[in-house]
Amino acid sequence: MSKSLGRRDFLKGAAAVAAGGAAAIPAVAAAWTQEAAPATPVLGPGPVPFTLRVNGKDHAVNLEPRATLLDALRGPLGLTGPKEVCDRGACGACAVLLDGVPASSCMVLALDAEGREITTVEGLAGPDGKPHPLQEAFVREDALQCGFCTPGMVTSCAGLLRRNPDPTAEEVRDALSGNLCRCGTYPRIVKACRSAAAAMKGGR
Amino acid sequence: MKPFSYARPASREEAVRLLSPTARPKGGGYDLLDLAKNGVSTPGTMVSLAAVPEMGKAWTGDHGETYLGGRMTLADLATLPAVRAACPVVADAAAEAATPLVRATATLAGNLLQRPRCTYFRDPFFECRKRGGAACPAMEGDHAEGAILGNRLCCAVHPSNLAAALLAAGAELRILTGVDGKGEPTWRTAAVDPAFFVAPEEDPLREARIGPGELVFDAVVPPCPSSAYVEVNQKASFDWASAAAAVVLEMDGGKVARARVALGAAAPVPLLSEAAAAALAGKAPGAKAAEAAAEAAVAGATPLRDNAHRVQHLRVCVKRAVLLAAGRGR
Ligand SMILES: Cc1cc2nc3c(=O)[nH]c(=O)nc-3n(C[C@H](O)[C@H](O)[C@H](O)COP(=O)(O)OP(=O)(O)OC[C@H]3O[C@@H](n4cnc5c(N)ncnc54)[C@H](O)[C@@H]3O)c2cc1C
Ligand code: FES
Ligand code: FES
Repeated sequence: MSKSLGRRDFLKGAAAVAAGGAAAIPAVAAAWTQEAAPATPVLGPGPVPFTLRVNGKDHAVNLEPRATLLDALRGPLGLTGPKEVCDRGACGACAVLLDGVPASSCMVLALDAEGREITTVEGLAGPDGKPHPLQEAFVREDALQCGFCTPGMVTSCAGLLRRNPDPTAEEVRDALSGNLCRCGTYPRIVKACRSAAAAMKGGR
Repeated sequence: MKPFSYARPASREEAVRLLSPTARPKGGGYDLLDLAKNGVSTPGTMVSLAAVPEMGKAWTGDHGETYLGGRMTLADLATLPAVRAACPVVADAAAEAATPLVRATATLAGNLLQRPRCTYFRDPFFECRKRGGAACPAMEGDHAEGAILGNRLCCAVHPSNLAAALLAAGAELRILTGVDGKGEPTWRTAAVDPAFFVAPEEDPLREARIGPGELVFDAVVPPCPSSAYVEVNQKASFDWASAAAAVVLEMDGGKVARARVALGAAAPVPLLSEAAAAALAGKAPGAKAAEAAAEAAVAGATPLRDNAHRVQHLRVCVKRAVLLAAGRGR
């Protein structure tokens, strides 16, 4: 029982309740007004040239569609801050910021990160190379043992402080619940995150 | 992962046009990539929905219903105040799922349509009915996290938090089926009810009744302010549910006029417990009625050698979800 679906029927009476701010009824896609929409290219399975914007710079890459963002970062881009541990989205060692929000780069296709602002732990330091207040706080609070989880921890903390500059310990624990530390340094990580928040409020 | 192709259409018509039995829609890709990395299944083409504009948003309709776009992230479902107010059962279920890193990119439709998490299913080394095998090795092997209901042929539990929530809420999916001669999408609706899910007895190879060329555009959720989703986990955060209950109450004064009680992580498909709903109808939703509903929900349980604890977990979830739902929307 397939019906034809007009755009107006489809969204009639519907008002945007949120998500992404402004937005009333979505703009009419080209396909609605033209005879036939320009066909979307199907890329691959061989290497595909595209651009990734990482730590404020555009990088040309040539990768198969099956390459994950983590593959791209650690391989051709030589950014080994994000770590590969579980490779299944279960540990947070590979966390990067995607448009400012922490995500597991092992479960994101590199092609899906095209056009997005990618920040790795390498990109958190200031332009002069001065460590980010979070990085300083991790050192100050001795918030690591082996350090393998640390880039992901710092990145998740950075994402948290962007949306919540003054988190409670509970909020830090919640934001870090996808980051595992085998060495068990959690209490110090929570302390470091809040210490960095305090330092950043103080204008550092 | 085996090689595959990739497309990123910019409209829903283009997206549905690209789908085929081998070209699969990709939301967050959490399940598709996991299955591909484990060598269980790899589509020929992944059709990323990331650029389809309308599917990432929520809308409110004329009658208070909420339209939840098929690629809304679990993070948005968990945090948007309008979703929480209109259908808290959905917001709870999204908030309880996985971790912040997962919720940032995993999507509504992908969560609903994810495959089971049973270790044996996810490891091609083992025979598994869900991969066409003749036996379920979990029956004799590790089934501590297995089903306690409907577990005769296969004891993998349905993994999706949102499936239980949408089932309790009586949501309806709007599914795009193709594009007609004028370039307009054709569609059908599918209620998220017990008939939407496919039990192993009918077909072990799938869990949901949706065709390979079909695209879940959105889920329409009737207003259900007195609702809640509660799960019990072994770990306080991060963990998969050991049991889950989604409860929607329609109140009439101080009494329950009608209830829908969905059980998650209990059977190979999410279950709607008529018996639990009947135990609540006409009653004040206090501790006594909640306990009666919990007892009714687990009445037919057939726990396996190592998972009887999940019966008690399910009882606790139903009771808590009833009490939480009763305190809301009044
Ligand atoms: C550490 C960890 C913990 C987790 N814990 C939980 C948990 O507690 N509860 C829980 O529910 N889940 C949990 N998950 C699973 C996770 O939530 C799912 O894998 C995720 O939600 C899938 O969504 P996705 O958008 O990434 O799906 P995808 O992988 O993109 O898609 C999954 C399936 O849906 C299909 N699909 C996607 N979008 C559409 C559409 N619009 N129309 C038609 N078909 C579509 C795809 O083709 C595919 O078959 C966990 C995962 C991890 C890694
Ligand atoms: S390596 Fe990506 S989450 Fe573990
Ligand atoms: S410091 Fe070793 S894993 Fe966290």
